[in-house]
Amino acid sequence: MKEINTPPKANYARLSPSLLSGPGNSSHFQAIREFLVAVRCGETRQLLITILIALSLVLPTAALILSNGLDIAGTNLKQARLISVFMAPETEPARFEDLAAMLATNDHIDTTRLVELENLVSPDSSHTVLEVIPAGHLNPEAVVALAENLSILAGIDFVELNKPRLFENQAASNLLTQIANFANLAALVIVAALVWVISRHDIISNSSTIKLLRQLGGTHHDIRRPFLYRSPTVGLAAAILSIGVAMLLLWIFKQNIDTSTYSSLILVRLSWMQVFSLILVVITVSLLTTLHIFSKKFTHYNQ
Amino acid sequence: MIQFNQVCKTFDTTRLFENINLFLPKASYTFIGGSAGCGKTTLFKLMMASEKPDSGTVRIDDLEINSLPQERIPFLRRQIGLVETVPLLLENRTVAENIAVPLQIAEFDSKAQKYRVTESLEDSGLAILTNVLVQRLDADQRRLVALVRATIHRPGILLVDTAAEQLRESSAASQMEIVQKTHNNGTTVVIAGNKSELAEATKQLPAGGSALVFNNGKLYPHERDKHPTES
Repeated sequence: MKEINTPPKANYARLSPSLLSGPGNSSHFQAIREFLVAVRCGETRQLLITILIALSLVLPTAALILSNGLDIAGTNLKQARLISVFMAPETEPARFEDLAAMLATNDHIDTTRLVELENLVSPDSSHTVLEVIPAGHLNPEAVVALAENLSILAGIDFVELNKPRLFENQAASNLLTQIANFANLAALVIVAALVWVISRHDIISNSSTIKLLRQLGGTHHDIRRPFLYRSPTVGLAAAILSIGVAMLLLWIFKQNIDTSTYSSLILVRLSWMQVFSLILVVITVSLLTTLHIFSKKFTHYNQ
Repeated sequence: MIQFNQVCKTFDTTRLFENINLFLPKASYTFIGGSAGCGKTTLFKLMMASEKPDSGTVRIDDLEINSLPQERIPFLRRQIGLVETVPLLLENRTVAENIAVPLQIAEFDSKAQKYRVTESLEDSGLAILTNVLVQRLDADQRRLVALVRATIHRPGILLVDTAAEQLRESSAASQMEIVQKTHNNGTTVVIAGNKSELAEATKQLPAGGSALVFNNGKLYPHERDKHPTES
């Protein structure tokens, strides 16, 4: 039996000269190749995926911000109602103070303020005018009832309330709120769909790594764990980045529109509830995608 | 110990194995030769529980692979080192990081990992490539890295799918030395290669080693003084 000859150590792993040269000395082709490999895997890949998710979430996030603006505008419209209380000319100052104190304690009234004479549309020196802003939760019918109740109080001459505008505002407010809610929901659904597609693609493109780890004896848990940690982290970073980018874009847009007609609708801010729901959706969907793919595609070791 | 008992396997419509019986004792050294597509890789897949036989049983030590629960398959694979013809490596990792993967999976502590990796790299002549990304290696060096990775955790069984005709002579020799050293440590070694390598491999068999040849879905012992086709 012939023994296997032991080759001299010098023959081991014969090195090509380019192999030991640093990245700075490598050819352009090599550099491009290394970049492409780095893009396919590793930290660079994670960074690019985070940016990709963030960019794809910018539009839905902008829609969320705009829906918040619509919601706030609707609320403002609903609350833009005023009851003008005209005090009788002969009212004594003491009675006036009592009345103001009584109105201040009324739950149905948000604020009360005295209107200066020069601020009146048609100055009438015979009346003292009190502006009463009803509480935000009151519906139009309750506001009308409040106005009627005020008109019968002693010391009050008459009360003015623009009823047609009150009901128009209410209808417009309801419409804006509905549009805002729909936009909110649609934006979150789009966010969920985008995160699902990108996360799924990310995991499937790592199939060869998963195959290798299985071949080397990695358990489902070992292989799935990094993905379970990574997906929500990437999702959270992308969600925060997308909020920043969307706000920046809307702020730039707002700076560039020369009319103030729509600028009140473009409030460059998100409610905490929206931020929370966006992050929750991104994290939940990325986690569920990972769990789903591992339970459907990489279930068996002998696949 | 590896035991195939009346194993049949069909791939698509091709009958790869026809009632194969094989017994490879512990710490044995076996070369299996056969033409391309004869089923050598499938034989390894059966041992790794990546494939199931259509009929018959495959046993590794006391484990019957056919009925092995899914959750125990990874632990079986940790006992086997596999070197594929085109090895799969983690492209964005260095040679040392690639070699350390089986130790990480087996949950070696970091100190032990570092020691074992350094030792293996020095023994295999790869020390100079420790921090080189594997994407920068040529095919021979990649195979060498795969071989070191397959042996670093000292598996009970080493399966090597060779492509010797593609290798440089020096690279093939250094790989054979690693295989030989692993065998000397008591590992069961199975090497699959082409029929053309059979004669050369037979000459290089260590004491007690055997050569088998695949022919028409069956395994035959290769007689050294005969041409493989005559078996």
